[in-house]
Amino acid sequence: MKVTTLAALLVLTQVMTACQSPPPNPSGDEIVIASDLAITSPATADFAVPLQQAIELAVRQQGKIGRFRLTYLSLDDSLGAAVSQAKGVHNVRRMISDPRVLGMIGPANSNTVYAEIPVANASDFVMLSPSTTNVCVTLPVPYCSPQPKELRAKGPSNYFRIAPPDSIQGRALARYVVGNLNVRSVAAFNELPGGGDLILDSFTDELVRLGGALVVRQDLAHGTTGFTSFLAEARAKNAQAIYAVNGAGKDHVCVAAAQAASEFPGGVYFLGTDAIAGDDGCIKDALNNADGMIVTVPDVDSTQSHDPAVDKMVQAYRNTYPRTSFGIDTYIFAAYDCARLLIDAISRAVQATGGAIPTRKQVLEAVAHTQQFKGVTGTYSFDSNGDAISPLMSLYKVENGKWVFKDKIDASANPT
Amino acid sequence: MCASPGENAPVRLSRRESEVAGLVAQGLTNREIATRLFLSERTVDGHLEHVREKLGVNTRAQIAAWVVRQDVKGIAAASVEPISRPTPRGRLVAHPRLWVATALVLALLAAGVGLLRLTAPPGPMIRTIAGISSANSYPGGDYKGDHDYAINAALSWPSDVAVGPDGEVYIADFGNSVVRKIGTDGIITTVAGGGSDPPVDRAIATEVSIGFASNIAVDSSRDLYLLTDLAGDLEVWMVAPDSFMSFVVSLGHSSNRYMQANWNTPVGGLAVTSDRTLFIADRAENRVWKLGFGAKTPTLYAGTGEAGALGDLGPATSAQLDWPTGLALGQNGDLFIADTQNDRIRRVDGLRGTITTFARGANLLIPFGLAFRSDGALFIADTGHNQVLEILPSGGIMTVAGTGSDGLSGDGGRANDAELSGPEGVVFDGKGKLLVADGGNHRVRQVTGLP
Repeated sequence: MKVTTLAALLVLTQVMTACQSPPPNPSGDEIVIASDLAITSPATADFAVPLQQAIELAVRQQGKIGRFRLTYLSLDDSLGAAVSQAKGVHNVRRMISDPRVLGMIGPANSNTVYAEIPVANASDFVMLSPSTTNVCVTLPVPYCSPQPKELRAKGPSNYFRIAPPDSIQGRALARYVVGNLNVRSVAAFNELPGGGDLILDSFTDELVRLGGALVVRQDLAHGTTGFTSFLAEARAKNAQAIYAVNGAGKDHVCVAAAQAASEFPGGVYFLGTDAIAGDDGCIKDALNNADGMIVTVPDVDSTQSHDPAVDKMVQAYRNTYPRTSFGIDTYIFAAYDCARLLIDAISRAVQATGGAIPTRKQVLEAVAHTQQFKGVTGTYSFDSNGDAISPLMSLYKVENGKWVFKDKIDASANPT
Repeated sequence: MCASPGENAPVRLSRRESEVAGLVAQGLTNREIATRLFLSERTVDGHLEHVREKLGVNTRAQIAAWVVRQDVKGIAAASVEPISRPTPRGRLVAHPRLWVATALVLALLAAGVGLLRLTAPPGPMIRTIAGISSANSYPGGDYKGDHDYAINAALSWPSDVAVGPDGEVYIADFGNSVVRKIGTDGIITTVAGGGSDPPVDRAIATEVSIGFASNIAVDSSRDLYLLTDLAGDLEVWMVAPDSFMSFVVSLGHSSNRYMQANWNTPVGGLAVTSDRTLFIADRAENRVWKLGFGAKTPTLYAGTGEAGALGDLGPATSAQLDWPTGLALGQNGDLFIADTQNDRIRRVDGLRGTITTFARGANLLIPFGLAFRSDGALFIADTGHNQVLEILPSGGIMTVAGTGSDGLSGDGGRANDAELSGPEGVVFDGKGKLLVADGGNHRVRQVTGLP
């Protein structure tokens, strides 16, 4: 009888063991933060590797959470020469299969996000992204398919980002041109149906709220190079600034700046989005009128900060990774902040469980309840969509033929 | 098509090409060869390009090695004329007889230590048969070169290849949203896509947009089938040999297809039997469908729709799949499915309808494409590992092409030493040559000399 019972217990134990994922770390003293970035794709490695380094630095600086050793699992969503949804999903599944992994940073690419959110959502697995700005990932805009809620069909919202959605670029720019340039009258053209309309809507709303007006709004074909009639109308309506909205650097919208010289002999401000930020082709297209062009970028360049605490962190990064070059749209410190934010949330979750390892759902909830987390790129809390409540936007200007950081703008709905 | 050095067919160079190849083997630069032969440098470039193409090689060293081998066999040496013209100053040039003798000694030495195999081909060889772009030309490739040799044409993210009954090769040129065809004369043309309006019945295939057509198949009547995502609808269209299109079937709209407009993400898979029954893999919905010839409604063949790996040994329709993509039909009617996210190849028994796992393990990572050789051996585009694999009769897995690292290299050499970049589709032509849609390299590559 005893032998039978023992055998049954053994079989039961084996069955139970077989049904569970084998614990990768039997001692259970480790918590892992993962990332999914295209670190080997020739097209994206230069962008992704510094993000990976920033996360690594944050994890190394932290070292431990409570009694748990904190480590970093970096996965690559390159497949062949490009970023891959298939590989991204594969990576998220791998993270989920490892019970030590409590959350992830990434992906950096909006297309990959669409594929990964539903997989992570089904397991209450929290994702923090430093650089995805596609509005459809978080905002229920009518033209988006699928809608954000369809991506999160199996559980609570599990995706959070600190880079503001693209549409907010319009709001931030309106604040700057009214507040800093005293511009009240703007003519805009749009070569990006859908997303461009959202940017212009937010620009117009804020401009009007601040006492200005959008005097011309025209949709132009992608790749337009003849802007004469648009510029003539802008001049007729006394526009003080031209706002070009487009989706990619090679659209030649900056030709409009060159052509504006004859329509506006007294000068006119030329404004744009991050699609032309840092683009030397744009400067070339604008001929002698490049200087003074102003664009918004949904990232904060912490190397430009005057805050000693931020300076200290930037220096730590430079010391650790001296070969990294900093430019526009790098999102390096946003990745660092995402890692710090996740560490902070895990720490709170560990505390809430009395020092035990928290569940993924507890970590997710801790991220969602983040309040005024002070990072090096901003101070963060999240709304119900997973977007930062107080996003910041950078402003760059062309000076002497080069893109130069000028300012940081509060792009939140209710600025303080 | 030109024969590659790994094949038994003799390579025929013109007299001038032989001269140029011989001088390359002597280490002369193109300028020096031009001076020596009283040609322009551009003409020498042209001859060299032909030599490379005919030999299926890329480098001067490979040309030199070929010359040495031919010289040993007594084929090419005679075509290199004695040099009587002035040699460039400051350069030592060996007398031809000395050179031939040296080459003979070197070749014999090399053969003695097994470095050169003079009679048998040195294992499977690889070369590019279509596409000129490189892995670094992101976002990828270009669209040009129709009505020229395919080797001079630009492709963008080719995702699948198919072979017609006459040996013509079809390419799903995914990044360009077109299907291209390489005729038996080596000339490439666009046979579907390139317009802006959505397809309709009786439309001319080259005058419409074919959306994200990632998978293709050709039946015995030369009808081309393409599986495409048209604004969220997964549809199959047929292009008849006279270029007119016909709607075949729609698998319906799916919000899960949002992720399909992406490089290196095929929308599913397609296979056609000899009686023109279609099998269609719907990647986003985790199902495989069967559509009899002339039927209007597909029947579920495998997959519940739920992503997962459960259900082996049971009915295929009750089993889970996870991103089914490439499909291939075995000789006995079994259907093989690249179960991409499960890193497995699943087999559906054609008679019983039951499903099993045919291959899995660490050797497989995100497999996209499958192809059977005429002898029943299964080949897999192991996309995640940048390799092509063969399932051996013993059940083992052997690498056929690709080192495993992502890149573009190795044309003219051993396929195992070459780099691929996210290979997706694979197919055999009627002569036992394996064609690979080398997506990230924007090329179609050909592996010959498979054992």
